[in-house]
Amino acid sequence: MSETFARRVVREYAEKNRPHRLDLWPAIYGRISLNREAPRSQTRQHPLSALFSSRLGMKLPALAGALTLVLVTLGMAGFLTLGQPRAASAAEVLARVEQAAMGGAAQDIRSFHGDYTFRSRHDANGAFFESQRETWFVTPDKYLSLGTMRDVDGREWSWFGGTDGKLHYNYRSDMAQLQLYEPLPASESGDNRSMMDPLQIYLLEPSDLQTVIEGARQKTRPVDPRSEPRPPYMYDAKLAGSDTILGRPTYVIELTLVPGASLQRTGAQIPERVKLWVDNQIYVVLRTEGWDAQGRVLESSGYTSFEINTSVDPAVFDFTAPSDAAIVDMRLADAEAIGKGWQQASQQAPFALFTVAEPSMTSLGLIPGRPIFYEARGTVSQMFQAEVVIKVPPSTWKVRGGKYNTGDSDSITEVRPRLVMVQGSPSSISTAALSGGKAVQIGNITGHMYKRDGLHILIFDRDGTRIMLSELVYPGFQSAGSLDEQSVEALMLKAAESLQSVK
Amino acid sequence: MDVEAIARLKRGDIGGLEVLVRLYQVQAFDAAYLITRDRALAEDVVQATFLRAYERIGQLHDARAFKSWFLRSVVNGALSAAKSGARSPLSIEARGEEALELPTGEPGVEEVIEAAETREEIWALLEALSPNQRAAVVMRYYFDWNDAEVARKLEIPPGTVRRRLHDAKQRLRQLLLSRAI
Repeated sequence: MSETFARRVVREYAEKNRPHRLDLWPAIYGRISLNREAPRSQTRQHPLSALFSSRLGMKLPALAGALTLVLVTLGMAGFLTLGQPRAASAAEVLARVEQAAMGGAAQDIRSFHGDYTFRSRHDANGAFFESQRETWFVTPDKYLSLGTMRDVDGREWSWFGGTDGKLHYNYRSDMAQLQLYEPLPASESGDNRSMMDPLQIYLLEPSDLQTVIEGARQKTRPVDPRSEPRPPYMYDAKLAGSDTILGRPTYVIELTLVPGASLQRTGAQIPERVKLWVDNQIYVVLRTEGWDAQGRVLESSGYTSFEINTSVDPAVFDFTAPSDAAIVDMRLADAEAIGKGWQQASQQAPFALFTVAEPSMTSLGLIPGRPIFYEARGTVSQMFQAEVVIKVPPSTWKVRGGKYNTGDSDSITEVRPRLVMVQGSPSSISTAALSGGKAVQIGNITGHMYKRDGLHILIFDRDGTRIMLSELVYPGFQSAGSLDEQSVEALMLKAAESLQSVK
Repeated sequence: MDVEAIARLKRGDIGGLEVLVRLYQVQAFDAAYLITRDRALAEDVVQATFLRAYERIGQLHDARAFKSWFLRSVVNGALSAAKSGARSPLSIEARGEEALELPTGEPGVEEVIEAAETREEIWALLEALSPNQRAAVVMRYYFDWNDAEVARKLEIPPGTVRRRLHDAKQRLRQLLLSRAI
């Protein structure tokens, strides 16, 4: 049977059996609306009126479709009458926390001002890490966050970051360095509110919170292990009641570690029991507390003040550089080169010798806040995942590049080293640190390899584009940090050579 | 269009899901039906897969990968549904024709199948394949994924994909010949 004939037969067979008028959307939307209450932002956005206006002018749907439409209408009408979200299950609340953290809540928030604290016990000796932050933002493009941190050694430092709509900046007192960027780029739809989302707090601080919630979600929804890995531990979640935090009504969710589910990671940072206070309108986690198996407080975090949609003095966002700061200008000089780099990257991907993960965001969707951006402002064009699997034996698990991302493991952990490639114009990637590096040969091109914060970085120029490869550190434990020096360097050179060999 | 729809969905705009449904419902339904041979079950599989995509869209980091990820999930969902006995396929094994041996010198499978009098006969024979074989046929001949892609998405070795396709063709030939007897 020829390939062409096989395709034709299969397609004809499919067409023969396909309903004449296939429209699954009303049923799908009905199931969403009736089985789970749609988040507020969805109900506001979902065009119920459009559902009528666009369809009533058409011929009447089939009976099944009409019934579904009635059910949808009844469900929506009931919801709109209630006005406020109904009492939910723990699974539903956690699902909405995830959705809000993806930017959904930003649609309900026009302005924000709040103070946030985080305190976490670092190790069994009782040393604590502490941070405070005050944040303001006004959509669509004003943002400022000021913070202080106190590490487990008692060292304190401060930082601030923000944007006034024209300039994006970051400052750290311990480095006395001010980095300037162009404003955060708009998302693909031209709406950058989600990138101003205070819910990055959920995503980034405390780093374990996201994992905890993911662990709880594994127990409250079906998981297809073929499409997503299970987290190293799981929590049972239950809705424990309601409370009021800072005048805002909250759901209280209690999470309990599933016995035996934490075998892969038993570092001091994993709480046995967690309590979350979740705003029942915008699903921001307003407060968390976590305890270890002995009932001692392991970490606590939350807002000490929280205001949304109140007026914010525009002068808050006026930017003045600290007098002692060394200014590092990372603003892109050549946007065209970035676009070109992106195109080149997609062409090169099939030729790379590593398993290539697609970049997680587009060339205009840079992800702020990851260590890689200390050095570069360019297109995150590739991530390389080495074919080799590094088996990290028990008790030696450690991540380089983050002093506090350390821990112990009582079982063998498997990691795949990862590199990230950033491309940009020569002026967009700093070479200030090259003085401490060493020259390496990549084919007939000379590159520079050096270390920054314990991470290997390799920079070289190719066809007018500067390419930077770096070990990648995730908020979690996956990084290339478990490789020895020679292996990391060899991997980076192999990646660079594979790129260089592409014409 | 995927990228924009997924960006909308990630922001909580369910209209993004509607766009995705309109884009992929036909392909998804066809694939699910080809595997389950049950319209209601196929619709249910597709609806459930869209709902799952709706719930998990936040985990999809590259919007351009949605189509592949989604269609693979449809195939897996349909396979599970078919295997769970929601509608047991009329397997060749059940009809006692597994052991049919083809004498050497018989016409090639291409000639036998392409010479079949009607499409309906071939279609009926397709229904006699096992769910795994039908999934391989769908991914290879309906989605046009190559063997390596099918293997990756089904998480089986490429050789297994080729074997399933080969077995499928062989069974079609066996059935055609047996009917001709």
